[in-house]
Amino acid sequence: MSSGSYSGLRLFLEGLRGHRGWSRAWNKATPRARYRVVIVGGGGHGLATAFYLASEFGITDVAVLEKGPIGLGNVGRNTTLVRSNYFHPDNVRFYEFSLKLWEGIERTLNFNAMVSQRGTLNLFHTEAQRDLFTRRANGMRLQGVDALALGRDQVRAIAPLVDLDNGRYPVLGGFLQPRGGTVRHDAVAWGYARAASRAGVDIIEDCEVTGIRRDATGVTGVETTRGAIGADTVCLAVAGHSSHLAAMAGVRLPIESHVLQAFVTEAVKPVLDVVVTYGAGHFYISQSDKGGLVFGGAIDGYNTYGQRGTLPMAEEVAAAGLTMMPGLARLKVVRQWGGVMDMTMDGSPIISATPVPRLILNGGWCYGGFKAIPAGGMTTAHLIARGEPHPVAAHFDLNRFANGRTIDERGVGPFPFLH
Amino acid sequence: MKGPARIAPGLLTAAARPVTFRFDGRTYQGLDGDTLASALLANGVRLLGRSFKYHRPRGIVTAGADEPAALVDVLGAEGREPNVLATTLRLRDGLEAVSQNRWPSLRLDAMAVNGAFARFLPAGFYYKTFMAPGWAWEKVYEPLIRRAAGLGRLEPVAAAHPAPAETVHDHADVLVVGACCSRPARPSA
Amino acid sequence: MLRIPCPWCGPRDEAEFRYKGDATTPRPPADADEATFVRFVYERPNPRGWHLEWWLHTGGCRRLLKVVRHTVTHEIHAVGGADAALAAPATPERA
Repeated sequence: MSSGSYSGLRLFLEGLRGHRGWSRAWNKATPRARYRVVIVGGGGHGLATAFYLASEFGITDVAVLEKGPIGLGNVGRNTTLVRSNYFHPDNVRFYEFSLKLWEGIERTLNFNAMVSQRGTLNLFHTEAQRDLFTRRANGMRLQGVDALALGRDQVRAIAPLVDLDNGRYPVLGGFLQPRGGTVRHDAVAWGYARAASRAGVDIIEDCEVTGIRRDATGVTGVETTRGAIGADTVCLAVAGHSSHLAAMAGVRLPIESHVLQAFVTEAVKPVLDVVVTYGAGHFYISQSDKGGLVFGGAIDGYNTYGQRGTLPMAEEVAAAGLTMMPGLARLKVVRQWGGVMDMTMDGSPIISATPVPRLILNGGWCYGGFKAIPAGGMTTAHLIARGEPHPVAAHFDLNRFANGRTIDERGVGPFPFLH
Repeated sequence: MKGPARIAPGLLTAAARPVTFRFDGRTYQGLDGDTLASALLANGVRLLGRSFKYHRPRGIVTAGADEPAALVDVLGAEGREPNVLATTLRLRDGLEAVSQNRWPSLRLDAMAVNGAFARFLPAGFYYKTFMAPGWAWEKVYEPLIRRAAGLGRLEPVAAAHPAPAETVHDHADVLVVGACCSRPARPSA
Repeated sequence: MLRIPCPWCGPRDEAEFRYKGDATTPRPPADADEATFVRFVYERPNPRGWHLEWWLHTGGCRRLLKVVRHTVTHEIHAVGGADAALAAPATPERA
């Protein structure tokens, strides 16, 4: 039972007959006894992996197991930013691969994901910062990715909310990735779920994995709250809960789970067109299509699965925001929430086989998983289908920690080993 | 009694102290102790805003902080304050407030046409359309949607917030702790 | 707001402390093999439940504390000094 295709014409026709012709966006499937691939986690990466397995690699005997309803994990809790302005060349390649997939996502999924490439602006406040950003921008340009250096007047023109002449942290300029921006997060979850379901994947909600079955040859299936399910390959795509699931297979990961808070204000008329990140503190902000200003800062700084966070970091985020944009003081924050971040020891993700044969891990996204959803899904599907890493994701190997090839990516922020 | 709809002096208002204020460009009289909402109601003003999406007429629904509809922008020398609840905004002399999210006026709002097309704009309708042609989302649809969204208006450059804050982060060249000197000595060099 | 009962200073807000991470794995001896050091440096139990961890009371006595804290409810079960032998509660894990 397909929901049919989406279009303005169909919306109009359905409007004429009271919207009786729509059916569920995705089937709420009943678990079968066995699948070729079981994906644990129905978030952005799990759903995207399932979709690309079916659409790119012709593997449709796939189940996505989600412990609650689709879309309530980190895919529904992020600040919707997409960009590829990283430093390490391998990371630039990977996130640019993702950004290019974002640029065609509405056509791929037949779902309006509201991809809005209004620009990502990184402010800097010292000459040393300018040098660091210049190095990063040049690295991007060498790979054909867009990056521009802006002076103060140009920053004022595109982001008038910014207080350029702050006494302590004056703004010297900014670096802009014009193709960076935002994507509607709920649309990503629902769009991938619908497309995967239409391609034949079973999406099974309210199904929590409680154990991973193995024998001498490797993984054989999972135990869940809805019964045991056999599988040739099990893929974990559970972000902040990666350690929790991996422990069920006897695997210990280089991951600590931390909370990242995010906030949104009441809705106002358009006042901020670009995404802005602060150079004198960990703070970033953008305005959603609904009018609210969405912002956040750094992780709270202690292991937690609590998805809420505490006041000291909320105050620090507010202080940074008000220093950068004093006009924000007029707004009321209407919602605050937290997600569980799978922080790796080098700040870069893991898309890799594990010591347990046929157990694949997609995780370690720290706080940058949303922008990577299309590339994460595509490269994880490649790894599952072809048995070897996709070229743009090969550096995300789990063994890199033991092999001394950790990824020195400065653009992602501190990793827990430094805490 | 300061207003055609005021039926009796209230417990919180002082009939002896009238207050002059402006809403959407018109001048009214209220009483000291009124909220903006009670003063407008006393003056027979029932239409205060437009609903978020369909721009249906909206008025005052509650008498306190749980008000969902009667939101106004307050103007003044201290800068524009968006999304203020009319039901908790205490009336003061010279108060100037404007309604939100309507053009050209509250009574004749062009976007009210959305209400007529409500059947084509159900919840989440934007996920099912606006996909073709590919270039139109960023150039046409999204700018229109962004302009239609949001209620109040925030000024990009605002004066410092007048209300006292619990926490202040500030920076100084010289910080003097203690008030033993009545006049701070000028630092040398 | 986390409130940590420092054994020397009493209950204090989390803003007075710095989190120093997992306290379950002692540093291996200098002659341990590379695999042991990889496990110590990079791997973490990272449990969804009771967690033994270090906190440094930077804004107070500046002592290193061992804390047993639940990573979902944030309940603190026990606090001690660096040499304390602490353990998670025997009762079954809460959600």
